[in-house]
Amino acid sequence: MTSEEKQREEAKRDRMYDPVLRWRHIQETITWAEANMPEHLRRNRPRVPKSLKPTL
Amino acid sequence: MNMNVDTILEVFQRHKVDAILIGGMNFLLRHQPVLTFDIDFWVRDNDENLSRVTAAMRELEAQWGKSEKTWGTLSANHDWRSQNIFCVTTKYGAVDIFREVQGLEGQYEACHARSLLEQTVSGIPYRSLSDRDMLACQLALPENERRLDRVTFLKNHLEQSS
Repeated sequence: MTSEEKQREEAKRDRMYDPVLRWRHIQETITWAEANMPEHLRRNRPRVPKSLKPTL
Repeated sequence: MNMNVDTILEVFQRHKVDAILIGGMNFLLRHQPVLTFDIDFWVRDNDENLSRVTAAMRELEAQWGKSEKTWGTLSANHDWRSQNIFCVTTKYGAVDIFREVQGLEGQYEACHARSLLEQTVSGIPYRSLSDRDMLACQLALPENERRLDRVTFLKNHLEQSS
């Protein structure tokens, strides 16, 4: 398999992808990816309240 | 309700498709965020498994065509052997099906043995291509097409864990 084969297939799909559906898929994928990324990389991970953080 | 990627993984699982998750989504799930919107599967290339791929893809309402003129619902007797890669749309997102992966040609069995059985946050299991094999894929690409951030990350990660 060559990267040209892949690029040709991707370009064909891009042209045939319903833009509204594609936009919805992108939004859903971003949300899903955020929830499934390694824990320390999530933006919306639970924060420890300041009051519970150890102090020096 | 499961998110789109979970649904795709779940359908593959339910149809007992023998496949390894590769590409950006695999890297993202294991390591760090990358911009990726399709799900890449490397599938075992035998008749029985390719039939399962067809069943799974049809349940996902996959669309594909050899050309734009013939683009439409994936047929029940779709010939996966006509190409090495298929970029498909489904009701739940874009899916790429690879019969062969650049840099890992003819090594499905060994890569499967090295792959990791992981699961999503919702508990959907999937096979994940190992770091070593992810790096091999990147290094097989022409230099101007490699994702340098991934190459650097994987090299460092493999060095640290060896």
